[in-house]
Amino acid sequence: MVRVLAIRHAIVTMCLLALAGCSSGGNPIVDAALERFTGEDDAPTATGAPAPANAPRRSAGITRAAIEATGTAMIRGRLVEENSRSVLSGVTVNGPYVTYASRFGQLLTLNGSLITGSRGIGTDLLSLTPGANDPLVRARPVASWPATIRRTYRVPGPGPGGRAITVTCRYQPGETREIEIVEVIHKGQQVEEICSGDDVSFTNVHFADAENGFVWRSLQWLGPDQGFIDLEVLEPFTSD
Amino acid sequence: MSRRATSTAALAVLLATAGGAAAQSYNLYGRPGLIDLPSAESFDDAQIGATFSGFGETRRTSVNFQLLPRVNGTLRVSTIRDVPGGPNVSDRSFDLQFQLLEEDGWMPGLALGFQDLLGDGPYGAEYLVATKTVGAGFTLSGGLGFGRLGSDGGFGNPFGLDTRPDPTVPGGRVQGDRYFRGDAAFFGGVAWETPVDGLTLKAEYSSDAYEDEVAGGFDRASPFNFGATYAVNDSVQLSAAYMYGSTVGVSLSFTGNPLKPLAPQDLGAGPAPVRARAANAPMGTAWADNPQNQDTLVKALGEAYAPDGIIIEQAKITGTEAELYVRNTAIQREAKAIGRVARVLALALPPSVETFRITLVEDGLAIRTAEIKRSDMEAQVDTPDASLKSWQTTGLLDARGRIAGENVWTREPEERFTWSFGPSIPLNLLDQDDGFRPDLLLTANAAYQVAPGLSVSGSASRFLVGEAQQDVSTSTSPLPRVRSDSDLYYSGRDVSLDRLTADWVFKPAPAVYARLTGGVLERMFTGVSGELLFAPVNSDLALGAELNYVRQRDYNEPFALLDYEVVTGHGSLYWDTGYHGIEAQLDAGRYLAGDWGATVSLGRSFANGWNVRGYVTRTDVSFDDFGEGSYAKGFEITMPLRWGLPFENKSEARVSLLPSENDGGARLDIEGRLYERIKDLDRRSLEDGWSAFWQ
Repeated sequence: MVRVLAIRHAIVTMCLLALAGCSSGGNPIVDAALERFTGEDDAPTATGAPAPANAPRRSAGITRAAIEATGTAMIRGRLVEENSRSVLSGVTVNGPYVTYASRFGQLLTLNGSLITGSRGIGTDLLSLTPGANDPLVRARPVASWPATIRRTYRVPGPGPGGRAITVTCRYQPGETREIEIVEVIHKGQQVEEICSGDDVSFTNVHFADAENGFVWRSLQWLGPDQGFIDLEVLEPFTSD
Repeated sequence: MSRRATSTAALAVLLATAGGAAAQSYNLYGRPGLIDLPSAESFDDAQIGATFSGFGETRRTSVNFQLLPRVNGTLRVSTIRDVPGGPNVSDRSFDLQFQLLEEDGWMPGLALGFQDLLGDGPYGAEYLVATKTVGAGFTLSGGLGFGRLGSDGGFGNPFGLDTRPDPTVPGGRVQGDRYFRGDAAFFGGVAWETPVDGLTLKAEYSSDAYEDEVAGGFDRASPFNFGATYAVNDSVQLSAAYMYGSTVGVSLSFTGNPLKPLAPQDLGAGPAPVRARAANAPMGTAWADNPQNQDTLVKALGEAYAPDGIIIEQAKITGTEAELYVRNTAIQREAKAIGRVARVLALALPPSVETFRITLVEDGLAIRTAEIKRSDMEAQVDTPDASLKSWQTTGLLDARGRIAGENVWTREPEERFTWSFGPSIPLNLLDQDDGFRPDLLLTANAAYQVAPGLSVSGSASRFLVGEAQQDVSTSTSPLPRVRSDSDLYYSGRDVSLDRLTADWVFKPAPAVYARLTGGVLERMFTGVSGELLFAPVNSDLALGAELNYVRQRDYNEPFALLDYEVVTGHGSLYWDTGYHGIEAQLDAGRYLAGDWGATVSLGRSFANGWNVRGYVTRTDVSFDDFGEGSYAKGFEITMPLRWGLPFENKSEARVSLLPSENDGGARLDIEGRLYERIKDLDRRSLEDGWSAFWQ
């Protein structure tokens, strides 16, 4: 039966790939698979660039009461080219690393507010090595964030370590504003994190509590093929 | 066998939809260049392109491969007319281009090229070409050509080698005494990448006199060509040009790159999260005293693995160790399959179990055992460079044939009989006669598993489209007609029995693999085949031996035999060089026609399953007796369908380029040779793909 399925897949794939080659709308298989990650937990937002950090967000799919009722750490992610968002709940803790899972089994691992791994949303971020003074790992007042940091991203590639991409990032604080994340208003400062190195350049955007530096929302780069994810912390992890 | 979809059409389809082409364009010869002339550019490493071009009576079908970052190769079948009103004649050629210098600052790129490297045909040429980007989208190329590229405007040989000998006949041999001899001539041109997205305009001055084509009536009124190339998307290029002042040429190119999958490779459910055991977790092993606990655990593990297509064949779980023999039916990267098995073990087994031994079984053969410490996994998971760390702490062992001892859980075969059928296109991309000859076959396969490692399987096919085969022998070969009459096996039948064999694979020792096969081995031969392979896990070398006794099948009756019989076999040496995935193989022995000789193969493998391989065979058959090409040679491309899919799949498509139908240097076409079964699980292959362990 396995053989039969393999052949069926091959045939279906050939047909679909042929369709994909003639279509300007992308690959239908990929779109369907992506939809599993971005399964509608919330109303869609505008496409393209991430919504402004202080833009009001509808929360049709989840409520603060529902979040608090679960009693678990919870985040919400949206791939920037997608319209809908996915809620992920904390499932494991290994030292400083907290792994969150979506209802379809995709995973995001965070060290503090920094995404250090992703699984199942397109092209995995295998791991991330932060610098010793990375403010997303060790929260501190925004005014105390270092001038520059270094990070090494590991993405799929040949060899046991995959492809390493090392970047240097500098910070550019922006305006202070308020944002709403599922019925809770957070006041903080928007900070651009401008990174370059190893033939890549990108800009992450963080919305951090100016007092303690905790990042409530951020736009984080996950690799050259995956691109950005818009991440919100619905319920932060505490070690209690 | 279960992994190979014979549908070679997939290659063409996927090339047609592939992404990731470089900015450079293919010329009418199907290699990097201007219109009809070469340039010093290279494509992205590993890029593959197929080009179909034509003007006047000339038709060219080319397959180009960026063999290494600085080495580019092209296979081509061309037809030209060299007699007015006469028939078009066919020519096969192989080009190699070496990039000597990359363009850097003021320094132009520089390349050395050999056109029709082995040929006796009209395309033989050598050249040195430089290419420089000069800004505003302009790229200039200029070179010095010899042979065909020195045939117009020549000024004498700069090395004093004024005489270019006639090619050695029959061809197919290195024409070393002709290279860079005879007249030389300058050629050059310019390409302009216009502001219109994807549109490049080109002009060139050609030093090719087109002597043979002119003899056939082609009007070469001017040395200048003017053309345009339009990149429809990253994978399709269209070109048109006004050629030599008299005619219009067109070409269509499809490209793809093994290193740039068509679809995202990491979509779907992630792996099981690993959670470290608590410091105070109960470490007692008394639970293992009850055999029912093992059954319960194996059942639960099996259910957890099922969505990933992983099947437990055998298991033995003690208080401190878990040993699993598993079959990975879906996940293309074996390291990922090992990782997923280990993750579930770490999540599900009682805390006292510290050592995991995971053995991968392929087609009934236990091949590789990965020994993993649970505490290592717990220390590594989620941390930076976790895959590198796990590679350093995972032990790789030659697997024992089966788990020995008592209390071993063994899966009962649920489906002994499997079958499938589907369309298959024996796409003859570079057919000597027709260049491009698509047929359509309907192929049915069936297999019955008698016991672990022992099975009976077969396949049959019939043409749905095509079947333009010879029904009488046209072979003039003085050798036994072991391949030159192959057309006769395709003609006049509604259904053709391609294979019907009993197969037994087993392991006499952990690093030794064995195969016995008997029955209808292939379309042309029936007999028995035995093979031994010694392939220790920690060696880049493997040794094999194969011995076969076969008789030629009748052309019409599926089980009748002709008189011709032969004992054939080879000793084989396999070497995984570790350099850019390059693998070498030497086979020496007796071939189907009774000739003695050796085959050298060089291939390049990629962690995602792509493989490109070329081979040459020299035997004691004389060049004259061998016929066209002088000796056997060919190329194969294997493409994993996973490359174009966003979900796991282990099927592959294989296409042969320049297949030989000569009798000299012919080998049996046996399904499931041992090295093919195990090579994805050797140390190098696993290391190359180990970054997937935590995926």
